[in-house]
Amino acid sequence: MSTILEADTLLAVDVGTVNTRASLFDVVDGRYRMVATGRASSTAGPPLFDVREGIQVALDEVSEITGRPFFDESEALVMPTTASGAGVDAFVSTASAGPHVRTVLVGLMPGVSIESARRLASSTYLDVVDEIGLMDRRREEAQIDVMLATKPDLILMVGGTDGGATASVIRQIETVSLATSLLPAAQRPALVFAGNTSLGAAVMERFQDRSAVALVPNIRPDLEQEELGPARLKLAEIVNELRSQRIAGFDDLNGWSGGHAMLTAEAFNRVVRYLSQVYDPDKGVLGIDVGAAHVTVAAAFDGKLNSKLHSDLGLGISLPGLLRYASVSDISRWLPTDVAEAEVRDYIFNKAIYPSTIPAELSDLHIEYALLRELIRAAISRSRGEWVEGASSELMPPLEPIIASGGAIARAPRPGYAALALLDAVQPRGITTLVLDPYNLIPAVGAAASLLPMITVQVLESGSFVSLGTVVSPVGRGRAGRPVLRIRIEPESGGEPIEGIVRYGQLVLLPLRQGEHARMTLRPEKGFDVGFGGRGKAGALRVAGGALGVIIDARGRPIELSKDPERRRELNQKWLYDIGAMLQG
Amino acid sequence: MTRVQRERKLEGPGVLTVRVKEKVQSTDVIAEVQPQPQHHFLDLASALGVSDAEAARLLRVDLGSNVEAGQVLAGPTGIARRTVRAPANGKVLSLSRGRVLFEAREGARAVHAGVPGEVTASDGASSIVISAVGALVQGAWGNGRRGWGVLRDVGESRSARLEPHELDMILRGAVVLVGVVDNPKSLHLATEIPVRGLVCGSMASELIPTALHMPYPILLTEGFGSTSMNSPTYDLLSTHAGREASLEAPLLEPYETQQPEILVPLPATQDLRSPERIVQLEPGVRVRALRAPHVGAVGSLLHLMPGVESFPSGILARSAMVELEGIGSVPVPLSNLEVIA
Repeated sequence: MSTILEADTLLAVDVGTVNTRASLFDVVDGRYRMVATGRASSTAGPPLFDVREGIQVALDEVSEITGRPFFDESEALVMPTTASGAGVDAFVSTASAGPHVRTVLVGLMPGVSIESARRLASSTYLDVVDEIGLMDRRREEAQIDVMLATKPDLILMVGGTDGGATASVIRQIETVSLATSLLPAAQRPALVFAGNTSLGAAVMERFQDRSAVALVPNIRPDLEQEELGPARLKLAEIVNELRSQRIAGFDDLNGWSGGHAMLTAEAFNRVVRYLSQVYDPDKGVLGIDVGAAHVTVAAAFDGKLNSKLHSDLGLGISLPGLLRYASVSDISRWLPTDVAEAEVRDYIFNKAIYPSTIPAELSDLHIEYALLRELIRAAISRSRGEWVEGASSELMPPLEPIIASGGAIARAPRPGYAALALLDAVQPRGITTLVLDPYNLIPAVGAAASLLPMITVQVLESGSFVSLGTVVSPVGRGRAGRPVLRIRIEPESGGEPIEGIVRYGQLVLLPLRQGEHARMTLRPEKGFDVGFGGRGKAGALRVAGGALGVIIDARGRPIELSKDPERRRELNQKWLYDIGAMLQG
Repeated sequence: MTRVQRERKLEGPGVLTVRVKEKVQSTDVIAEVQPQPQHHFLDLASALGVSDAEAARLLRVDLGSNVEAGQVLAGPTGIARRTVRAPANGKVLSLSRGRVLFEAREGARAVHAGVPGEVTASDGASSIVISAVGALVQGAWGNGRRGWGVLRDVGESRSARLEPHELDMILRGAVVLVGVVDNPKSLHLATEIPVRGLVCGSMASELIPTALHMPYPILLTEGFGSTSMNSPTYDLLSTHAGREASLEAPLLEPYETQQPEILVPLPATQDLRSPERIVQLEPGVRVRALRAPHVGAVGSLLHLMPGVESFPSGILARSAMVELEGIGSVPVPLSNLEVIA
């Protein structure tokens, strides 16, 4: 999708597992703005298996708000906008709903081609059900049985650098060919070969006319180089095709999008990569999207993106997967009140059954946010090993900004809930900014970026994204109550400067409203580093305000929670009050 | 009472044994399915001590034809009259470079109808649809099994816990109806009797690993914890105690068509329709609350509330005013309501 359009209005639809959202963007004062958004329950799953119902309800909401009809009498999308103001100039769609593509990976070396294939698979909606490699100790016939028993939708074949191994790759291709020949034609999986480019003809020959094989450029052209882009595009096509086969309405979405319906994670990644090119090159950009069925963690450092989609984590049907990475007591440690572990466990499994339900009681909200913390922690921990920066450090690399989206985060009753959950889960260091995407606009602006390049930056700079505030997290250890840093904030608006000392263990909010800027001077004590070049180094910078102002998190890195359950709950409660998530009295 | 369609799909190669318009009972065999076959490479050239080409010439069976265990596949050859025999019942699928790919097949497994009704559709090869009439209840969770048996109300209350001492031989072959299960011993004892199924309001989630290993279907109508079975479901099922009930308790899988269900087959007395797939939330609709503070409570929707409502959690949500039985009129987030017929 490379054509740049002249368009004033853009309609974007994102079909999630639980929610379907529609957003209308228009040019206001020469800049793109989100003017209305609608939300409905997704209808991709049972009983309808048809995304159109959910889309229609979400679009009806947008129509009701704006008075703009989108469809004509024949129920066709009106595009471009008519003189009477009906329809839109451009349409983009993204989707994360739909079954995952059951995939068998076939490759050579575990640390080379298979590793790259795993990275490729984990960046999109594939569910790897088995791996077959050169070091596989199973006999060839057992490998055939695996390919038959797992009923894959896709076999992804990799291996051999360009000009490298041929015989071992061909041997594996022959095993795949034999296995797929044993399946009835209607049950044969899609086949993608992303290995040694010189073997393309030999691969085609092995499958003859029996099965179509998509040849894509080698994901590992040499030992040092990894090239996932072209293969990722092909996999996106396969994911979309599979969804269209199983769920009605995706073809319509694709048609309205000019054949370029995108995967939500792909659009999300595009925005994170873009931001890393425009923000501070010395820091990375971190994007976290917590959905009902997946958690996406995208980290980009100077344009280099690493993204992982965790399909065994999510705040809905995938929630029980969290128990593989965190115990119930890991989750309970974030609770401000005493809740039986059995209750937390029941909550997890009930949320998986009823993913669209919301916490109406305060105690349920606390459990939901404790789960959110551990989901993000688990997802980041499983992603960090492959980041360009800070992969091996216990501390997070410097990040600016941290962007969070997803239903639970967007629903936070007060900004403090979302901020505290992110601080506890991510534990950023130094100076960063927390940004929320309450209307789930990231997929929309990501999908629209190549059509309307200005929309990304203009919408991101608009008030549609909520900056929670600038966060200062000194790194160091100390006794509770010991001074950590002196701070001075001088608002550019000319108001009274704010000065003070922050002590170890404190979580402090200093007022600076959204849209306001100030000069912030930080003088950390010896032994504490705020990112000005080392421990005890002072500095000053221009900061922006946010919903919570400036947040000083002096709880240390990593945060060490008290081992005494009562003391721990008291502190959790205190931090909720300190950050304005709960109101005193 | 309603009419339901139950699809039976073969999970592997097999044959259907019933035809469209045929009437079936729960116990009737409707298909025979082969378990997933195992494959073996048999190296004829090495075993016979000959070249690849000679091995091909010595093959004694046609590719694709069925053979029995012990049947000679290749040979004899040489002074020792060496042969290669079939390791199991199965077939030789291919021959390449002096070795054959052998597919071993075990005995076919019977697939039962699981519900009395009439076969209304079939693709003639791997799937049929059985149309059945009865009282239908949709559940929340299942342990991945299917079964049928006579429904027995053990605790005689929608909140009764299933205690191990209540499981005696009188429940042999029964589908047990109970409020809550929180004791793993009860699940194990039910296997020994054996019961044919368990329908409960809720179950402690720590019993999930045990429940997944039970040979009989377990179906939860509410979810996990200690929530009683909702009163309309309990009233309906307990009224039909003594009748046969059919349980479909599939595992929770996204994008699967089959949901957990209990069907009590009843004679068709009137013109019946399949249940509506979409029911609009409007005044008078019967609903059930899915979350605290009124989890499991049922009632009638009074009206949709304008705008959004604030709840004790601080969350703002579109809501409905609902008259819940025994509780009164309360606002409930729309997301936390489920329509019940």
